[in-house]
Amino acid sequence: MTNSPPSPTIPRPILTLVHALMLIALAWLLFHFVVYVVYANNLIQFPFDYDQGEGFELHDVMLLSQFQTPYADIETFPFYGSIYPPIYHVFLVPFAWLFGAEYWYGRLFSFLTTLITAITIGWVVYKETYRAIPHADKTLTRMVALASGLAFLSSNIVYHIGPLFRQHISMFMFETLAVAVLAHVSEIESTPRRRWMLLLGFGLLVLGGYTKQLAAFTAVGALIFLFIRNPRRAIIWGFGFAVVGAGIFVLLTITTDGHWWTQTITANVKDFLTDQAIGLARLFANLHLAILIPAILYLLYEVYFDRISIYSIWFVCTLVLSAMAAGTWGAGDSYYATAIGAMCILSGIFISKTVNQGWQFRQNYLRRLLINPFSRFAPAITIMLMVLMPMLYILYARATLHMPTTGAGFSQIADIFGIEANADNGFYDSAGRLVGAYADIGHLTTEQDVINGNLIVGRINEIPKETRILSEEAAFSFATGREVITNPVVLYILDQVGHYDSSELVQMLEEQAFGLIILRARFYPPPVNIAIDTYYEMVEVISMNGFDYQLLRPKN
Amino acid sequence: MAIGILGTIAIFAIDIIDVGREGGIGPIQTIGLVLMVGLFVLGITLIPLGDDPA
Repeated sequence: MTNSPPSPTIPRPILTLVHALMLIALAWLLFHFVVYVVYANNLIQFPFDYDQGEGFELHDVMLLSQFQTPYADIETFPFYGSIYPPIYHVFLVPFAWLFGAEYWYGRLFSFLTTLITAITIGWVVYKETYRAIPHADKTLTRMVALASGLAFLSSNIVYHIGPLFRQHISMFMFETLAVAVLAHVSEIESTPRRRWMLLLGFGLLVLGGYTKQLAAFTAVGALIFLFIRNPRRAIIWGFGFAVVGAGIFVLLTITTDGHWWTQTITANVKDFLTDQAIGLARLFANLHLAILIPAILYLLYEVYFDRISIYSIWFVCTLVLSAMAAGTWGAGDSYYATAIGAMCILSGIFISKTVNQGWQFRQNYLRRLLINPFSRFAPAITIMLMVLMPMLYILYARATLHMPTTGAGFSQIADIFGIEANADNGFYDSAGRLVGAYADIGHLTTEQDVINGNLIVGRINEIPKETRILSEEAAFSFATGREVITNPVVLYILDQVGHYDSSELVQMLEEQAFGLIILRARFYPPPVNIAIDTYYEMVEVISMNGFDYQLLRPKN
Repeated sequence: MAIGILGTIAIFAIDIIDVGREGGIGPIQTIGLVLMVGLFVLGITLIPLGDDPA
């Protein structure tokens, strides 16, 4: 590798300007972090489902805490099955033993895992900067590292799901940690230490994969990277990884009489919706363009002028594969979260290299074509780029702006900057709500939402205890000490692929076995929805958290 | 580069082999084609770099 011409001395006023702009960027990103903490705190105290499906994840935790499997026969009572692997739920089992069926610990756990992910991103940017540029400016590098971590949390997509009782969030913590561990594993000279690090990295990948299946994309990226660096080692470890992963899979399939296979594989083969995939891809690009561009430039830099890092391969694999997976029915913007983590690392390294004047270019035809002609302008270009870098974070903070427009502090800020709510409960979301499958969440819940939720609980309590109720969300079953019956989305998906026979559930509806039915989105299979409308009638609609909950009683 | 060429051929081959399916290049095929052509172009531009370690 050949060094670029000596870095020009940067005038002090320019350095001061760069520091000042970085402070502005950090202040804005920190504001988003404050919004995130407020949102997490709000959700942690909310006792009902905020995002569809949270209650069923809690039910998985409760089943596992009682040493029961959530991968059961969905065609027989209570028609319940989970389509997600169990690691997230297993981590929460001790909390279930201590506190029972509560939402707060799952949301707090998820929130903390996002903080660990953000810290890991910042740490990687910091370490990689010093690995390449030992003389890097400590203050600027720390600022960029901090901004990289905050940029991850600032993404509307990460913000939405960060404090949810969902397994997806801890998955990208395991993925990010795995990538950080494996990034320089091939360079470790001590064999025992290298093996331990490989074991740790692959262990984290297994944990990620058994938290949610999407972690397979990160595993693909990690294996490609290891193969490029050391094919023999990659094949040996990749084989071991496959044996362990497949072994657990086979064990789960056998011990659940095949229901694990049906629910985690068959139920995840869903229709591909092109409009949804394109809409989410455009939304992702629009929101993150300011850091997407430096991430792509850094990727190209590595391909043509440096060695390809695990971060670049991880970014490409997760971006391409997640973008395609995001087009499947039931998927959403959250599928981009891992790629956002990788993007924050790549853009952070790019920005850090620029403000530290640490670029080096190999002698090749591209350098002669793209770099050398501009070498005499290097001082001016360097200054221009240094000033531009913090502005990328400022532009990014503007693009991802999201905040409540009501409440202490927020209403004043909204008034000063003329920000008007465009989502539920006075929330502003720069992404709007225009794209299908973009999560309709992020707003804070209100006291009225809790009151209305308790109103639904009260209606259920009017039904004799021995009479069953059918609730589309598990929260109301937990709140009233009733059995959780059905997981509607799982029934719907398996019905769509011809793997669910609704006869037994429909028969119970015909017999009006349920004293009350609570619906939110009617995610049940068509035969079940028809039976509900045939044998039940709507008696009340109660709004909570922006959704209308329909209460139905048996027809006379 | 080889992956790009083979991938492109394979994607077009879907229409030739599976004659019973609905005609035209579908959305997944389009995405696949863009990726494969991209890989091909990437491969071409990497050839002059010789055998520098990746």
